Amino acid sequence: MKTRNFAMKKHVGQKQFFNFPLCIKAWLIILLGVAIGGLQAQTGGKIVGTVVDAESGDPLIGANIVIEGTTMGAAADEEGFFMIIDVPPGVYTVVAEMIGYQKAVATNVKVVSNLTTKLKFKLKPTTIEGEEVRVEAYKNPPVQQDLTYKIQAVTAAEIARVPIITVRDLLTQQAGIVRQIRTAPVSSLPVFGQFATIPSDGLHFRGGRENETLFLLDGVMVNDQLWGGFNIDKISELLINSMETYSGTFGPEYGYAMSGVVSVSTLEPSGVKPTWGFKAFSDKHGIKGASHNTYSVDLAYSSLLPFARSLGLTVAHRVYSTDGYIYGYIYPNYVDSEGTDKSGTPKKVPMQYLDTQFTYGKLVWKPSSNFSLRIGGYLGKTQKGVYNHYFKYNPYGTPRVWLDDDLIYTKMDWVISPKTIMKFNLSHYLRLFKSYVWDNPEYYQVIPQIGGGEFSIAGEDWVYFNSEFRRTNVSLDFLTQIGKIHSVTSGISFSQLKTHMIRRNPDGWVALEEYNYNPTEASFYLHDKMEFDDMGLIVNAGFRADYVDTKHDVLVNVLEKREPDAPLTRAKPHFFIGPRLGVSFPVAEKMAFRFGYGHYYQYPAYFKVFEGYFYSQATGQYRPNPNIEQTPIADTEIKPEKTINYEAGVQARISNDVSLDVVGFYRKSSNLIGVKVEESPQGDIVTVLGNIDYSTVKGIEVSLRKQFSNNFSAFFNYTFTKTLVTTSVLFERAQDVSRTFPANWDQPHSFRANIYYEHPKGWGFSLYASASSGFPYTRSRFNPNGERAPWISDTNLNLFKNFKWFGFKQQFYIQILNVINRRNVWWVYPDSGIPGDDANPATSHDYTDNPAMYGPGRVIQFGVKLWN
Amino acid sequence: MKRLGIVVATTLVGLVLQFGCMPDRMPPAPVEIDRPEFLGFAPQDSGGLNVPLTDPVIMFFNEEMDLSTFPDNFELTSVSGTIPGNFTKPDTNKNVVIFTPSQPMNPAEVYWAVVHGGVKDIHGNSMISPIKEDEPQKTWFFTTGKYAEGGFPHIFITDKVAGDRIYLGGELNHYLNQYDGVVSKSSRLRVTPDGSKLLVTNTEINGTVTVLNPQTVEVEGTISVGRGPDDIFVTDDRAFVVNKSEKTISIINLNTLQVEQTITFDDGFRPRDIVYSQSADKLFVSSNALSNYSVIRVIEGSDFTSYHDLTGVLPRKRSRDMEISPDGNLIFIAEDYTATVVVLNAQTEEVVKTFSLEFTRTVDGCIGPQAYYVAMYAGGVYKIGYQSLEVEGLADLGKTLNSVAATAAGELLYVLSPVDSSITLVETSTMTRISEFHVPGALKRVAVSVQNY
Repeated sequence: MKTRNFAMKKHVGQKQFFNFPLCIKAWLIILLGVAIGGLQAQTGGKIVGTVVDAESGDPLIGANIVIEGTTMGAAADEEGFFMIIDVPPGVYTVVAEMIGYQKAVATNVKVVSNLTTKLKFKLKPTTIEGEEVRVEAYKNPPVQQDLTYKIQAVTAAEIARVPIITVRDLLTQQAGIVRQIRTAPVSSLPVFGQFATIPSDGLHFRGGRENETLFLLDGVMVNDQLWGGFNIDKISELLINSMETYSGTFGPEYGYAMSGVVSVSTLEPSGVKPTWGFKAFSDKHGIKGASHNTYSVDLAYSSLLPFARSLGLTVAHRVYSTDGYIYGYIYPNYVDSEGTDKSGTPKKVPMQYLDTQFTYGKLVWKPSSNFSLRIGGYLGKTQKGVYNHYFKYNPYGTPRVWLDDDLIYTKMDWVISPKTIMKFNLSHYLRLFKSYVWDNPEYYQVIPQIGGGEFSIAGEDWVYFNSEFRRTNVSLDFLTQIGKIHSVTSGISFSQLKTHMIRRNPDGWVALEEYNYNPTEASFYLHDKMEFDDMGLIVNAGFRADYVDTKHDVLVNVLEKREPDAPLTRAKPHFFIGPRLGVSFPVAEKMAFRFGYGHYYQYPAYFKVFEGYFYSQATGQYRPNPNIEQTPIADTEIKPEKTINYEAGVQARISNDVSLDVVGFYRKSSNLIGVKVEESPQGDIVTVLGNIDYSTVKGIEVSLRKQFSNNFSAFFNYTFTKTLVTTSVLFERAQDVSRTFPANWDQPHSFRANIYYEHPKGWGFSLYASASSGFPYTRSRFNPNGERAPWISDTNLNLFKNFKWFGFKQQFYIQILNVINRRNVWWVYPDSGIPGDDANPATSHDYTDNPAMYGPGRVIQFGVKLWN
Repeated sequence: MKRLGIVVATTLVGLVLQFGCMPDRMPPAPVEIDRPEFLGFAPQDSGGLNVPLTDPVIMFFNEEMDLSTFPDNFELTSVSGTIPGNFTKPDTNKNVVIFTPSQPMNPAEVYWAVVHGGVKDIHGNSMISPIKEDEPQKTWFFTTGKYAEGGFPHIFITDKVAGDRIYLGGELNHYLNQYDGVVSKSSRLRVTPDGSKLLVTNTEINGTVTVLNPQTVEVEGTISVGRGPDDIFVTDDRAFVVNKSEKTISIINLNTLQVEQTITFDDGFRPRDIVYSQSADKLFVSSNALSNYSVIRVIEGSDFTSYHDLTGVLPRKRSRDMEISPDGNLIFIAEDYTATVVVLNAQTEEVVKTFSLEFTRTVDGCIGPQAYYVAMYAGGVYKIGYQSLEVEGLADLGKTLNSVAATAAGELLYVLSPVDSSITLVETSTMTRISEFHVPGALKRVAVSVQNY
């Protein structure tokens, strides 16, 4: 039955599947999950501890320790010690019991991947079995002693305490992570901004470039390796059980990233009583200037099935839509007057809209405590507009962007012994990226391109991308605990990728780039976490080996690019090994020093590797397009990009609830993809995309965090970074490859702070504020990015009131973004040093007052949340 | 509680269904931005004559037009003002726009239909960029009027060479026929006010006047008058003929077709042109003497024997033509070989105005109900209103002229040009040339019947 259903899915085919109406697809994936059944596995955390007699202090041999709502548990050994490995990240209730003793329950036990949570149960004897239950809220220690890499983990409860719109906001509130903001007009970017619409994760981790982060959903990689990145905006907030972020060094089990890892764990069915939540908000209230026409509906449900309690189901669905704050205007007579008449009431067209849809389903089957099977996946859709000021009055002339992705995975966890687990994972990920105005070539013939010097009048931007990326991955992981010290994990993984891309010039429908390449990737890692409790030392050591075969042909001599039949040769596969090391030195329970180091390789996004390739009708080969001149062609050999990360930090307990984390880091990246020029002896010049750029980043992060107690929680993050790069912009050649200068995204100082207060009567607020240095800009070419735009700051406030009517919880809230309605300046004109007007008297204010130079104004949202 | 759960679940499902899918952001398919082209007006609207007063104006474009843009960019106007109307598109051809007047047009007026560049096609594209100078599409037509009631007037033309020939025009602007031998050495011709007779003077030594039936162009009689009859003026029952050689004036009884009286002058006065004022009951006769060109002799109508002279009426030359307004009060005297027209009050016998016109020398004049028209040798036809005594209009026909005649209601002028043997139709409200037809001959003078045929 299972096999048959799986085969049916394959028979339908992804492409056809994507053509189904959206809502049908949402239900199909849920039904598919129901039909197949499955379990989830991922690298979890560890719960260790002791169970002792509260009066004598003697170990209680054989005491049972169970994680409530799961089949995970352990028995205390002769020393009263117990260990539960591979616990999915999240917050749990752990129960210890033994005949003759009161049952002890520890609630609010937070588990983080790769980290160890320590518990101490002291059971009191009782005269009547099960007479009493002692419940204690677990106090998560302010100092995580085995932390060797900085990890910022947030649970569902913590997510609910900060004002956010999408999960991306959650990330950028953390230290060391900044949102990517374009600091130049689209049309002034290389290739007239044609690549401004390509996908990106839109995030910079510790000064790294965009798309240097690995995204995991339920432990499955969801990065688009053709273009890079993942659109995290779409994820259902209510679905998240925990989100863990590495923004610096990280262990060898994580590859394909140089800057960070974001791992999202979803709700896990944990009881017959369902866990559910519903959240909706909107700013469609009609208050002028405080609305972006936004709405969001988020629904999540997770439960074991009452008729088959070994089966659990998690489903979620979220739709988010916003018009954004930048509009184009269609004046009735604008085209007819050849761009001069802006009278009459214009039609407002959102040009920076963002719509996402996310449907998730997961079935968990746990027939025994030794085996679990998960089948899950999601359908994601994103559509967005990219504001191009040149098209302000011809907004339909700009390309629209569609990003559809889906994931289906199967994971089997087999507990070979209480200390050894084997995991088998099989997943298929698909992402479609399309960017164009029209997909119908005839439409481009209808209206000619007409433009003035400042604005487009009619016609379309000649941008056309249509691509498909697929990754089928199979992996096998082993996790074994050797004694109390060594926790060894290793794994092997193989991925078959499929990349298909067409980039056209819509004017004539000619394919500028077109390829179908099927690279293969394989990796192996070995990781040993050594917890020398006696020495007070924790060491994470390991390495990772990756193999990439792009399976494409390259020119023997790149200088022969313009020869249509120049000889080709098969590109060389690449093999690279990256060592990883992390050390923590706890000092009692109040402080812990740590050091992290690692070599991180990331093979570039494949669109760079295959840049400029097309299908030659003349030779019947995929090969560099001899006629392409606007963009460089990929070099004959593309090596992986490399970053060496150093990190040294200290955690300190200020009080039982307050902790301080200070970390200094240094990153050195090399072999970054950039543009270089090759010149033949005859003087022919070919621009090539290859490993030429490099960068260095150094900085300090300070995080002060107060856990929720006494009705409030708070955090304060400060980041100092200095990011120096050779180039900041794709396809932009380094002005001088021998020197570096501040990156376009370099913001030396960044402050983020939040305070959350909840009164016992249910009302409260959450206030989030941030302030960052302005982005750099170049006034003089002799001092690239030597000037700074004004500081950027933001204040968001959430006012709420909780109720508990009818047996479940309700929250009504008002969320005000940019409370003081500050007009943040994202970039300025280099010659004038201000936004809105450049120094050229010939340009109109309308032309220079690009709304993309500014951040959004105040927005007021009203929301409701229901949950149990 | 169970019911509450159902309510909550139903509400949530409803919200998900309502907002569960992303909005569709796709814009409408592109539409062309080519400017529409105006292909033309319907033939009847392009210089059409005798156009019914409620006739629509039909416009052809190369694509479907947005009718809402027409009211501001289309106008149908005449000298009397603008005619309102409605715009429609026929189902059979969406590229056609029809303007239907919502009130009748005025008769016998030239209407200009003007389509400005601001009209737009259904995609919002105008014919011409609003920032450019408008280049409107225009046409005109001439509405029907009294000139077309029950037929059209007959046009009589004499020949300079074939003196016995009369050409007949009709059907508004057509040459119909020629009649030979009906006259001899024709000089002037006039139609009686009641339209019953056409009289032609024959400048023979033994001069005659031929009386013709305007409808059939058949001779009804020939009347002997003095030597060298030239100018003639007619009333319904009498005709006054200037016998230039004989220096007499014959008065013909049109009922009997007999000369009932001959006016002679014993003081050597040489009559040239003549009009009769019924209201003043006087004959006004210009002098043909080169030495006495400025004199107008006024002959009392009571017996046609007593007279007196008005001197200094014409400033420089002899008269070329004399006409009198229908009420008999104003006499228009066109001076020969000059561009001067003198207006003489028949009652007061005083010169009330002298016009010095711009075109070279007068050649002929004619009378309408409201205005006097004078044709100039160099191609102009002036309109001088009785009320205003001002030049109210001018038609520049651009060619040599030698005679002009008006229809009975004064709606049209038939202007004769010897150069190309043409008769040009000029409507009188705006003095617009509206048509032309040719007659094979050496055209000399023209007259128009009072009645239509």
